[in-house]
Amino acid sequence: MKYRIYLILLALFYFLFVWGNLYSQNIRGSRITGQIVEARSGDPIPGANVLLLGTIMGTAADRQGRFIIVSVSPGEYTIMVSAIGYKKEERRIQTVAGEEIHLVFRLEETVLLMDGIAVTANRYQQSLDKLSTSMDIIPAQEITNRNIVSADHVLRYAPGVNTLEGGQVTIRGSSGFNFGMGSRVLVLLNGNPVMTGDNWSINWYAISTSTIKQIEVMKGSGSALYGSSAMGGVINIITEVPENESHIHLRTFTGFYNHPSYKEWRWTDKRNHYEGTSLDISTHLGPISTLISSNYQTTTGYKENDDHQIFNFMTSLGYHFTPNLHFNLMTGYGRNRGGFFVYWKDLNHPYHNGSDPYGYRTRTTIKNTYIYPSLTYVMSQRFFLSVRGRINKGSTVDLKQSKNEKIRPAEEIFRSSSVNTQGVEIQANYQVNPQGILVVGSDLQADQVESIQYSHAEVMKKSYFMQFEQQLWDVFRATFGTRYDWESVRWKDTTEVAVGELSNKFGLNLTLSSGTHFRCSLGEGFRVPAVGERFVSTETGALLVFPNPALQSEKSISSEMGLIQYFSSAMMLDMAVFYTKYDNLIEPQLDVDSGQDVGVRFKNVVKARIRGFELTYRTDWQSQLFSTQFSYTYIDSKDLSPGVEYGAPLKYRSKHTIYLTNDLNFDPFQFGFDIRYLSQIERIDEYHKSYIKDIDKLVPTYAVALRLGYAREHFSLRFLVDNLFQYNYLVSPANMAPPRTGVFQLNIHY
Amino acid sequence: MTKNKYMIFVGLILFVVSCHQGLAPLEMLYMNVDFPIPPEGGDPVGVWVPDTTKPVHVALLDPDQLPTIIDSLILDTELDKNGLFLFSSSGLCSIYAVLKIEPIVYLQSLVNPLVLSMNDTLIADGPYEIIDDKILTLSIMTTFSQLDTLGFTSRQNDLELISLPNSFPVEGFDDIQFYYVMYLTRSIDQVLTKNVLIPSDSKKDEDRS
Repeated sequence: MKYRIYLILLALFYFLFVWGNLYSQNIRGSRITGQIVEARSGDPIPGANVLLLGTIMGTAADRQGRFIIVSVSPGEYTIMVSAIGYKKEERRIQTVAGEEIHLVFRLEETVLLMDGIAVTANRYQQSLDKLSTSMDIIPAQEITNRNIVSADHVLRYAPGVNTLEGGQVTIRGSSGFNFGMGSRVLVLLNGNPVMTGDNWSINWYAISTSTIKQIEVMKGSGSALYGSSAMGGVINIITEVPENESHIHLRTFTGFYNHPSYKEWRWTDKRNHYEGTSLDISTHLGPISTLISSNYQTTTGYKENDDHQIFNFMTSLGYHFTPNLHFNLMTGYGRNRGGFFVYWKDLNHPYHNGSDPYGYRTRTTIKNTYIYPSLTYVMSQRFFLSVRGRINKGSTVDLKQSKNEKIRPAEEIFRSSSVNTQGVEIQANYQVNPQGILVVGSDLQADQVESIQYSHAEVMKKSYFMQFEQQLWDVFRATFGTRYDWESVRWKDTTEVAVGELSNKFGLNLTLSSGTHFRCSLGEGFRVPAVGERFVSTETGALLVFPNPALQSEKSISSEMGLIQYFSSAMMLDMAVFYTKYDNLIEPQLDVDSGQDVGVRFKNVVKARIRGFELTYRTDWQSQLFSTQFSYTYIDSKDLSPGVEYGAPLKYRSKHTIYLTNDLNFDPFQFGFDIRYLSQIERIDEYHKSYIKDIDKLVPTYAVALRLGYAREHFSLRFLVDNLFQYNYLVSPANMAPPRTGVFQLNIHY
Repeated sequence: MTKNKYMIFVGLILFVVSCHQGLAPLEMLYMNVDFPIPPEGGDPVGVWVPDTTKPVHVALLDPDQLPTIIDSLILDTELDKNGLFLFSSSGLCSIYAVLKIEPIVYLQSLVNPLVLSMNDTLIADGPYEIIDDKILTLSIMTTFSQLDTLGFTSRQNDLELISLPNSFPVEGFDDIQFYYVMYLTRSIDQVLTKNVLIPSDSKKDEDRS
């Protein structure tokens, strides 16, 4: 199967390459060139999006703000230009065969992110206020401003999103806490899944944060376009594209953790610290544009045996065979080596590791190598084709390291897992009529898992998807999508499980006035259990975990209604009400194995519903002098499983979530502060109490962060303080959040 | 608008005030535990059986405490040889042992000593914790003794478990305070693999295969 995927990939690339070259010779159209600059300063706006409305054609501006669209058929079009932080602009143009049109756009600044363009919701670029589902965009600037070293950390400020220790992401309460296993949110890197093939967790450490252009967060079920595990939403990390111009960006930081609030909580007298450096170089080697990024971080950790050394390296090569045929090769390597802290010893020793076996410390090494080749071909202004391949090799090794080598063996590997993944996705976008776009595609993926705790497993996935969107009467958009997924798992060469799932989606968007946009959607979702959930046989700390090969897929139906209201060009409100019904949710349950040992087993046990509403308010006072974003998410979850727990709230969910972000800009000085509040989780798994001491000691989250900055054209200096008031809260049950943290950051870019 | 600003201001003040709370240490339970024989710690992980060469040592905390009517008291105590103590590296323990206690009381008023016989069955199956690297805490079911907190001294193949002072009630007098030291030796018949006990012979067989 592995070789079949390689062959399909090669054949498709070859087909597109030859066909693209031949076909491109025959296209004769006009060229649209231009530049996008700031209205106030005249500075270029790199990365601004350019869309030729009514076609599938579009591009992004380069570092000088320049753009070019070729092979445009003669006719009249509307061209739309947008960038995060700027008001979008539309202009009518007339093209003539063989001629070139040059346009200059001067965009005015705004903080209203709704003017952004996202690609995730419908698999093509679209303005946010035209979507039928809730979507948030996190711009690159937020990553730099907050000195984000792992992409999941920035998601903590996205409305309705929360991340737990171990990189687990939940959107609007879709997930509880399961040590990162079996994510109900799909994370993509430029459209390629970055989930591990064994336990379906997220390899955040392998993603270089310095090259992120924007992060798109789609809420609600995305299974109709993205398949399994998108039932809680989709997060798509979009990286910078390599350019034909040279630039260099260096970021370095050093930070320290304050001592714990109480003397008896100290596990070391040393000052804990962390530091890191990233270097990005973009240049061109002849006709090949390249982007190289390397990143190294090291931390002592603020908890016992929680030190880490993280290294990642990424290259992206771009080459235009013809103006319409583009090849990109993205390769990367990431390694995370360090300790393993799952839960505390007890509340009197919250920074001491309770999950290490007595007399040992657990050390973990995670490695990941990926290759993502892609070929995109704009065959005409109505037809676009892309082929994306993915080859991924990951491994995790946990070893027990003796604290006293005289009485115990020095090292012993007790958990390991390696996963090889090969996949290919073909997608075609066809402009059926000036207001209707059809997206069709297919995805094929094979995973091979070799593991101490999961044994040997082979997974084969096939899927076919289709979506059609039609605009009617200029103000009304209807979207219908469907996807069929088939998955087969072979375990230990004997057990074979195959599932087929059909997911549908229906959405509407209505422009009530120029400043009022209504949206609603209804979508089915599902998640096939991860290899880890089905076949795990291991121990985590004092907990035994047993396999359950008979585990079934989780399913959901989610619905949403939302309204975007612009009160002025500097103030907007986004409101949404949502309702999701879950069936067959997979949760770890206390059980007894055949040897009468007590442990946990993943089981389909929970029927549930989550309803709630979300409110996001953004405002920009005095033209970006002072900007505010406020979001509130209310979740009312209910366990509908028959039994004593019927009617109880779902475990590990916060009912109220409030995020407040403020920025004050006195050029060149910047000041900002963030406030995060999450109400105390209402329920935890009772069985955890039998082996994790004081796990029922819970508090709400009150986190305040402060940012001070000084930015000039080629460099910036920042000082950030996290957990300003040294409030002792939890990042996950029995796992303390960092104490007050201070960090200095220097950015140099040319 | 002024009212809104006032509300925002009050909200921020409340938030900041809330930030001074949060998790705090619980009352420390094991700060002042004194064992009659100071434990030395070590590594208790493994499978242990009673050391048949050494009986359980039992002694009065204060020999002068004996009531005046009692001439002397001999506490004859031993651990049944079939007992098993298992401490896994993942923090779980499993104990099944029978502690035979025979207090022999010599009274001035009686010609023959008074011999009592009681068996205390120790059963534990659950998590254990190690505090200060020399104290074991566990939930252990017993009939007479209090053994939830034990000091330990571990050497290569020996493990000593030291109890806290236990009380023996004598009607009309103060309780007699006594303590045990249980001597265990590493099992050669059984080994611990992934928290599962298997006979050492079958382990060898597995290795051979």
